[in-house]
Amino acid sequence: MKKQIIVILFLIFTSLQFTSVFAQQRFPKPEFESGHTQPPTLKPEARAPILEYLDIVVLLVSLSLVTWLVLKKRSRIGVLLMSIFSIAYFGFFREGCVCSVGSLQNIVLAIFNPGYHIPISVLVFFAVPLLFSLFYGRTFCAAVCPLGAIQDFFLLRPVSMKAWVQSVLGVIPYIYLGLSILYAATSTDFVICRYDPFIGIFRLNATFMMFVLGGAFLLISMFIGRPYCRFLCPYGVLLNLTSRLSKKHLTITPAACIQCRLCEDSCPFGAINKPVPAKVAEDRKTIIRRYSWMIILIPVLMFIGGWTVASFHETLAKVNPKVRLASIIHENPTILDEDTSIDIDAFRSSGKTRAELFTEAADIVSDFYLGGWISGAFLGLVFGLTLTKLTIIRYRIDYTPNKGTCFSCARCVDYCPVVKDKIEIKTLKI
Amino acid sequence: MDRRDFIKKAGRGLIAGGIVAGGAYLLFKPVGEERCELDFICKNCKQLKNCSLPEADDFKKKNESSTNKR
Repeated sequence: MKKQIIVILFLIFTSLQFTSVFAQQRFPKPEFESGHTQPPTLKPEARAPILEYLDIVVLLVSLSLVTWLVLKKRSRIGVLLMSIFSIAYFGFFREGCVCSVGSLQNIVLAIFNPGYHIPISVLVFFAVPLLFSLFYGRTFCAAVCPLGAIQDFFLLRPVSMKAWVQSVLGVIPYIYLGLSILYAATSTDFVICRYDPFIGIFRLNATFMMFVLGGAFLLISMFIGRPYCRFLCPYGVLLNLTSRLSKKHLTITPAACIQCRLCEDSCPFGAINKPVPAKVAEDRKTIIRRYSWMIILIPVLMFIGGWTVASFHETLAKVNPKVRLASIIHENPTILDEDTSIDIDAFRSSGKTRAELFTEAADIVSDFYLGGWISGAFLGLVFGLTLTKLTIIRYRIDYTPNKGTCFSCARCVDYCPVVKDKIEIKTLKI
Repeated sequence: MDRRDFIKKAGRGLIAGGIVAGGAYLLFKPVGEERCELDFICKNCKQLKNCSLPEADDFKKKNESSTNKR
């Protein structure tokens, strides 16, 4: 009940910040005779290097602390307190930037654009959570990522989702990852940052549409645990893969599982693997036949995916400002003499010729064609591997967290009545 | 160590090595010619005042009167 009141108060507080969105100017803007124009809204200034290092230290300390709280202390309360700190520091104070989710695009840009030099803070924010995930599971998602923490904070009445729905929606992050890499690699845009639903809330300056999007995600978060993390986050794809190999991961029980089934429905993210009773082993011929089909099917899916995405390369490339401008000028050549829009004005001022612009735009479009094939093939591979996974049944005897999808939030830990080293039953508080 | 553990350990080592080596490369790679492709329009660019790129110099010269007011 207390939590519900806090969440409602938080919602009211954040909503109040956006009243200016609906406001209208009482008087029209003054028009200065000197030609002065209203200054445009600027992006935040670059952070001083010393403060960038402070961010790195805070990230390292937070990650270490959360990992210790999850793996050693097994404390849900500790994780919750760290979530509040992350929302306050990485969210509202740092205004959601630098964030590990968006840093993925900087990495891609640094790889593909020789003129771009990546700042050390961005590199650390990308690499360190992955390294932690590789050894200790997704402790970054548990309480360090402000995007995950704010959704987790809003989770009031979790509704369980069917496994097949989760599987289908779980493909979306791969598509988003493919597109964001494509756009960053072609120096077109940082789509993850542009469509981040929570950045506007952290900066208290969201446009109406982004406020609606962020609000919708928070509203959904009340019933469906972490919808952005599970069904959209492209960085989560990488964390999912690295976490599968993790050396020490959160365990539901600190000792041997006694099959009490208390933890069975404790995870609001559907990330607990239930025991699968052993069956009679399939005969070798059937297994070989199935895998042979998969070996044929995966390259076919990769080809279909590549061809499909590459077919839309011109449409996808229109997001690029140069391609868009070239397309406008190509369709209406006289626009250069008539139009006074900012794009045309800037192009005229740059002194470039039309031919130069068209050549550059054509190069970008051909990059999109190649990128479309690669992204599509990647998606085909993901579909193929997902299908393959459905045919594999791993037999388990205990309740275990799914290392890939578990956010290490430590909710399930409180449900386990087993006490470490003693195998005695905790007294349950009812 | 069984086969599964060996594969996991090898995968972990490879990925960790890849992240560290890749990160070091990106940090110390020779930076090519400075470009501003992500913000093609000089007029929108917050770095315009201090930018030393030929495009920016050109833009500033051609719009001397308006850039001074910014």
